[in-house]
Amino acid sequence: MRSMRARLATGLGAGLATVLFVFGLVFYLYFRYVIQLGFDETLYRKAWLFAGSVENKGSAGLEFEMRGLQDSDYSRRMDDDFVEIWDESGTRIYRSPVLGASDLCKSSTIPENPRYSDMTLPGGQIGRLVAFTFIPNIDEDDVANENEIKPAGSNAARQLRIALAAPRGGLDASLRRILGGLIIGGLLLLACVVTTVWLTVRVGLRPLNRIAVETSLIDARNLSHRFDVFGLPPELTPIAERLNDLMKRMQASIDRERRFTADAAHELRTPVAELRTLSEVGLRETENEHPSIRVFLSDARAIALHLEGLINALLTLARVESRSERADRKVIDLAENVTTTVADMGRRRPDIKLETAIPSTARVLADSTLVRVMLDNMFDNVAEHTTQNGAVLVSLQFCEAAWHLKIKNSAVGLTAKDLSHVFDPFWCKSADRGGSSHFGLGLALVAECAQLMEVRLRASIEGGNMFVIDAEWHAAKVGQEADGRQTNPATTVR
Amino acid sequence: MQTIEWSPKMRVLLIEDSQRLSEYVARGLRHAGFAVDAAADGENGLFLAQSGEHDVVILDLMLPKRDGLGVLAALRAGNSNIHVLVLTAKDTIADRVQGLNAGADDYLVKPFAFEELLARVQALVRRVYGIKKTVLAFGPLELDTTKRQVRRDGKVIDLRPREYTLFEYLALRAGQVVTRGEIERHIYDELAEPMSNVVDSAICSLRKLVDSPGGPSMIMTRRGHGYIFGETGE
Repeated sequence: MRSMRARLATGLGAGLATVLFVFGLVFYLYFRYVIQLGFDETLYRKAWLFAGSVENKGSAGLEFEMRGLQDSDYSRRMDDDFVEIWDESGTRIYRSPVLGASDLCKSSTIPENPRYSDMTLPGGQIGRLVAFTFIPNIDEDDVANENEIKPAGSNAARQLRIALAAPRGGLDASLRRILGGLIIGGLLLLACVVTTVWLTVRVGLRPLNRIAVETSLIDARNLSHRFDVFGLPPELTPIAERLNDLMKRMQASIDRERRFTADAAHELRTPVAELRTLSEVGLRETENEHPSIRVFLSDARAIALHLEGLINALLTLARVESRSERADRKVIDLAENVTTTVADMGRRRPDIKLETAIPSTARVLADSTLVRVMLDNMFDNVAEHTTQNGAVLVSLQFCEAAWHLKIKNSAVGLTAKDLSHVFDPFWCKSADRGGSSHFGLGLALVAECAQLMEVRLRASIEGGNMFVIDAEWHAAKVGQEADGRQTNPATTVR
Repeated sequence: MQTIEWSPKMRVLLIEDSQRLSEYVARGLRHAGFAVDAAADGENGLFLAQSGEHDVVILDLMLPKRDGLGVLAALRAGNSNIHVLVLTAKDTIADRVQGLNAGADDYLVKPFAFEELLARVQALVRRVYGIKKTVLAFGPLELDTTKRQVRRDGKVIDLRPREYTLFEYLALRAGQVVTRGEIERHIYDELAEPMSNVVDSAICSLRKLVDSPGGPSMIMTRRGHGYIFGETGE
């Protein structure tokens, strides 16, 4: 979807440009009409001047008197005008010299009322023609009676036809100048309009842009941000205020949830300590006696240890979440951390067939505490869920400016559908939690740590029975080899 | 400001407001041979700690009336050198650092393994006596403070917990006269009845167990004073 700025600018610009164009066109057409009207009127008056110079002498016929014209204002250019006059029978009675042998038009097509049209004059220039029918002047001294001025067989006075044309080059040049001026002026105006629209939209949308930029910085780990309402336009103030209120409530809710998790875990420590101490002191006192009671005490101790593990996991999760604003980022050696954790896992599950491909060094930018929590829980999960004598493959490879830690372990029963849940807190594949020391928090902790460190985390299943976790860390740039190459990858198989 | 005159004893003060936890920890320590006094709030705990009767204080931090750090600060302000083990649910590094900087000698987070608590208390007791070694030899006798065993010529002598504690107390003060009253206060806490001959009876039983038959006793009586360990004679 196009941005508001683009839509506003395009809409306003196109609208104003259209208005400019329409106005310009209307203006041009009107101006052309007015100018042409004036030209036509001039043409008509000129034609009447010629028409007025024709006298109906009655029985003596028609006389074309040029004296009047010579005294008129048009005498200077008289020779430039193209004139033809016909009588009612179509006989030409006058043709201006410049016409030569050409006719302006057919006399039979000349109407009574003036008709204007464009035509090509002899010599090729474009001209404007006016043609009409007129009754020539009558000199009463020369006419004895009314009938003398009527043609034979007609009850009306003699009517002559006149066609007068003049070059319209000047007119056209003027119109072109006007059009050119309008176009240039219009383009300049359009440029001004576009600039004004762009500036206005940009300035006008600045508060909205500010809110958009600030909003893009907000995420679940940064809800303490508040929009500065002061200085916002009244249309945006309610939005900003509502957003501030929502974030405040969300932050408070998250803080309450974290505090609750931490407080609950904390409060549980003392009763769990009571249960554990009770069971351990009881086992000490009943050493070598009361075997049935010792069974109960052993179970009580096991319950206490399980609860202790759960409390520690919950507290760790709450603390990891609360580190969102205080996560350290420094260069640490991921390879060293992975090697240590893998070794611990190997000691815990000596039955596992372990294969590793870990370089001697792999520097990343990360929080060392979160890395430790993440790796501990990843490999705890491996130790917990890998089948007896199962295979585990651990690789750490550099690819596209990132270090990829891939852990594959044989696991039974996981399906593709489970993958969307493996990082959920308290999720266990088996609904029966009775015999397991697993809390379902390990991978939730891994996911939380990954999110805080911007580590991309993916879970998948390969070959139907291998559970794979792929974690992608940003490689450290400070002090890293320029091409990010890894040195001496060690592959061990046990 | 009260000045506490330090004198070595083997008695533990437990300041913990959780009644159940206090009861079972005290029970476990007594079973291990310690004399244990208990307080359920900070004010009472401070009062008892300032009495100078104890080797080690096990101190909870979240206490009513006066919190654990306040008790600790008051003890140290009074120039008390009593050894303090903080026992608390506060588990962050900042909490540990705060507790140790306030004057605690050790820090243990709840829930804890009782064996670990016991070992840490024993370590603090050894510190009281300036002893680093865990196995002390007195001629043919050996005192193993970590295993809480007494051996003669390598062979373990079967002692009850209180018998062991008595032997340990005398052995750690070898060469010094230990009065009957000190033994009563140190070994028997409030369980001992006043004016009883429980100390004499215990010394007599202990001699029978640790002394070689027909040989001189390692525990000598100084009439009118008390007992002394390590001098052979009567």
